[in-house]
Amino acid sequence: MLDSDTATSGNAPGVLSQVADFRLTRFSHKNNADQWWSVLVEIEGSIDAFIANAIEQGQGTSAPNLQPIPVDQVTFVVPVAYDAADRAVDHRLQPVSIFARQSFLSLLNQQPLAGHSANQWNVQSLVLGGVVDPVVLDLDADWPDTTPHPPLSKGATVMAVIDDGIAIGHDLFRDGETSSRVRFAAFLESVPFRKDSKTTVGRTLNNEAIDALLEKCTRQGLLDEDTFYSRTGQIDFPKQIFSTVALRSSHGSHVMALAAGQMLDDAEDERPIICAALPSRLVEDTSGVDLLPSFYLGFQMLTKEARRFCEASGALAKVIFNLSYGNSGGPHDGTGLFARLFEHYFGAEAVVNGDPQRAWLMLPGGNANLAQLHGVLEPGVELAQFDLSVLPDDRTGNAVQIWMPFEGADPAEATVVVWSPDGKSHQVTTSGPDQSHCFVNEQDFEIARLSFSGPQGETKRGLVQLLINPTASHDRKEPLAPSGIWQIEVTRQADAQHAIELWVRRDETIPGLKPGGKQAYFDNPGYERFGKYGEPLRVDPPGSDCPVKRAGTLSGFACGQSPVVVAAYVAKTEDLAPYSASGPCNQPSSPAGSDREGPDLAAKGDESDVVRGVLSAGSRSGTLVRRSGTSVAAPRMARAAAVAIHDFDGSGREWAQAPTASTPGMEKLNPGAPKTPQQSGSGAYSYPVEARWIYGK
Amino acid sequence: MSNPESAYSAYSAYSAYSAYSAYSAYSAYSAYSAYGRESPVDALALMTNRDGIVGARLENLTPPLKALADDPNTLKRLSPDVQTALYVSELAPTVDVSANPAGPSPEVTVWRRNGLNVKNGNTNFVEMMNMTAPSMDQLVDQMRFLSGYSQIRGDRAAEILGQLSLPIPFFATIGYMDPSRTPRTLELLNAITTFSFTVIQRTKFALAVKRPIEFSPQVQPMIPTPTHASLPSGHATEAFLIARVLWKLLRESGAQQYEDNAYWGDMLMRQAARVAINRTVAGVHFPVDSVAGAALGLTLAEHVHSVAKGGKWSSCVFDGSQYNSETDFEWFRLYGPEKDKMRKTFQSGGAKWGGSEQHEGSSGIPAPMLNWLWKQAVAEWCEVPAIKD
Repeated sequence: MLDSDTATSGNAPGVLSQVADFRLTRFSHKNNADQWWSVLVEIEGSIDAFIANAIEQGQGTSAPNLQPIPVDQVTFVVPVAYDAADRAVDHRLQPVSIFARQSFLSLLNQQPLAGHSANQWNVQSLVLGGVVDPVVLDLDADWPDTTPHPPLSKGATVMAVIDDGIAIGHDLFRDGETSSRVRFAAFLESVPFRKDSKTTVGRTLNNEAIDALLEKCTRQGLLDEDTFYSRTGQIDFPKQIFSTVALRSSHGSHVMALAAGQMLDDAEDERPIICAALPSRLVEDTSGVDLLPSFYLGFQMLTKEARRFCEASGALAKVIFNLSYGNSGGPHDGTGLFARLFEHYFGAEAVVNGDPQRAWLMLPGGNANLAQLHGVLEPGVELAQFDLSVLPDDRTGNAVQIWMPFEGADPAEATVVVWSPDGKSHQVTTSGPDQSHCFVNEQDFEIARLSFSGPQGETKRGLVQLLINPTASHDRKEPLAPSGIWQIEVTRQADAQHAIELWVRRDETIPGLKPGGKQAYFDNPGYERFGKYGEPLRVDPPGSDCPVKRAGTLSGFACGQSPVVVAAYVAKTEDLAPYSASGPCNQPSSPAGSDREGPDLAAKGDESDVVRGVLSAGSRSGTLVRRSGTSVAAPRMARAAAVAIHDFDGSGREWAQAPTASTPGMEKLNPGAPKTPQQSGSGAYSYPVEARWIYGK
Repeated sequence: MSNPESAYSAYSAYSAYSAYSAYSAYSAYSAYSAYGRESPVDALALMTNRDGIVGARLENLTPPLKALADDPNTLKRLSPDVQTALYVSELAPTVDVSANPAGPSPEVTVWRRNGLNVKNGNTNFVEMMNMTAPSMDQLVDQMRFLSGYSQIRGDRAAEILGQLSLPIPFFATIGYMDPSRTPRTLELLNAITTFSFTVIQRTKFALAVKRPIEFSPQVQPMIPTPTHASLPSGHATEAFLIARVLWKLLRESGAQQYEDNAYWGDMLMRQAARVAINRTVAGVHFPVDSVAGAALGLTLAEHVHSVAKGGKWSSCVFDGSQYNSETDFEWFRLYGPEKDKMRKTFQSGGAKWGGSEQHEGSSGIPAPMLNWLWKQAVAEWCEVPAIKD
């Protein structure tokens, strides 16, 4: 039968991504050479060169401009969302979201060639996404349509949303009974159309296709939404395709309506919608899942689509992106892959095929303020201990990232020692060659790994990672990690100038599905949760020497230079929501980093402490549901930004410093409440959205 | 005497039907009067009271007028249980059921009495609903729907529990029903569901389709699996029977909002479909059970209407063995509310698995009690006319 790697202590296997290697060698994925995965690779040079190079070394792929080969010889595919023009561009470094079989993945993850920054595949870094069911792949897809649309009206803004579970048939997204304002929808996990597919994964629908389905499914003036969402491909139970659109409340519907929903007969400004729905799937991957490759692919699709819209003058239309997702991992300094996502497409050094397009990106600040996922070894402190509580019955793995200071700032060496609950220990030092040590169980199977990777890539920080197996499994043979406290001790010289930062990775369980994972967190005895009256403390108590901190819990995704990051406040008290995460970010950082201190501003996340959340679209027409969090604060600001971007000439972040000037209807709240820029940026602002749907104009 | 050889003979089992008057969840007069019912307390008071006031026996009594015999006009003075029994006494003999368990797939036929020849007492039955069971392989295929739909149990739990009994309260949110406002409509629905219950159980028994729980240990239904067989779904049959009968009442009332707009009918059908699909969510039915149930319910609705008013009825075939087991239940494949007609052909996923055909009703008067009840029920949906001096 299967046996897991009997990995040895000592030097690391030569890999780009420890996490990818760990996941691929877990029990559930051993011996799955043919398994398809989504993966994000940062490649040097052009995509064409990457493909040619891979083919030369024996890999097989398909594309509209390549000779077809038998399906079983295809080992990777670059989605057609990167069309012929995109593939020809020679970037210094570009992230590309691809699909690859496991056999090729292990090769792709090889370390760089000696003296080079990339490996033999031109890959500099790699992020493993998730297992992909080939039923959603279409290796024969054609290039996407790029023909320009007719010009938009004055004041129109394209609204681009990436989310999960988007009920595109909701009446808030229609401007007529069978006329949709959604001009483009991509469903990354659907069974592809049998013909005329213009996407390598899932389905894309243009406005004509959506309107045709609306007509087909409307009888007596009522849209049969159960049938509609089965026809769009979002719900297909027999093929195990599931979307939260099957539930009464879905994240994407709620968010998109706040950003761009309008009542059917309400002639507000033109807001054409383009959207991409991330996969929600029933397959449980006990090694965890990373949504980054899906984000990048969705973003690639939407940026291409956005370029088809122009204004009457002929200039490209303005576009507002909203991605209501957050995470806890990453270097938190703007150099992480997601943080650089927007910069790659719209930042100062973006390489654009044609005219630049004016775009702002809204992101939620994150809800992890009280989640106890962040720890710090402060400057001047020699030793800090972190009690990682790994829960029992946790059917997905856990991971902790320990980021060293930026290498240019602080070469001081640190030592990280980890004790497992059953008393075994390993240590790494944060200098010298990469290291990797394995915790094993009684049968000598690896159940956890402690690794160190030296500074590399754009981030240039050393990274220690603790990767832990699940603590429970339905399969008797899967090696399990012990649950309980994993103690992490970080020590270094007292004269060190900069902090060492720790984050427990969010178990990225896609909402609405069978949860298998439980969130590990720092359960230090010195962490004060409650104030003297029993209320949860929203900020770290002054003078506390506990190394587990609320400060610095800002979503790792949201640390980049350009996005407008939105915190959440409670309307009744006008105070920040207790869960709303804050800065600071991880400074100093490499030159690729950002100057961000925290969120840019705050918007409504809840009505009151007992009426949580705000109202917005449910999954079915004519319904509104409540959802809470910075996820719902961000799209409200996206809606405001869609107005402001016409009047305001600067960047999104510059607008967020004083947004009321260029945004009619937006009001600054009493500054008495939310406090520091690290918590709420330039302050808290109200902007009416849902009241119009409930109470009329 | 009657032709069919089944045990579903005309007048033998009425006593059993009275038990099903409790079947209606929306029982009209249950709290009618606290006093005057049979109880020791009341009886004692009535006894002593009589002793006090009765006086000596009176001679020379004048009798009242002879009662109208067998006249539907007197129905309104009967208690609900008795009324139900009478309506069912008219409905029950209009059908009979025969089974053919031995073929490649079990088959069952519901026959319709095509008129009573008063001279010689012969009755003539014609095929009304023919159903064939799907195969075990098809049902295995349908199990995928069970695991998919189970994902939304949390969402539907309150509805599923509320729909364990007859879903009249849900329909009452669309068609404005209330014991004071629409007593005859509620009686009609009670009578037809009492009638259909036996037909449903008989057809389930003839087809013997196993429940999802027997196919996998992972179904773990959220409500107990009933002991009777799976197909046709009783909930689906009743729901579509109620929905279509209600729609006919609404349309026949002539009230303009129902005349002008078929969305009332669409909404009633959506409600019926929701009830049916919730059973798959709960884990106690396959989608194909709802298909068969909807076909049976829609057919029985037309049959009941034809018995009550005369006029058209439809015969219908559902061949489960031809059903594409990869397809889900979609009610609009069977019926369109705009013209209140069942589709001629039932098809989905490239397979044809049934159809319907409309027929003229038999000559002869419609069933008198049901005819009275129907007319009274229709009147409940019309505007109340102004009092004329």
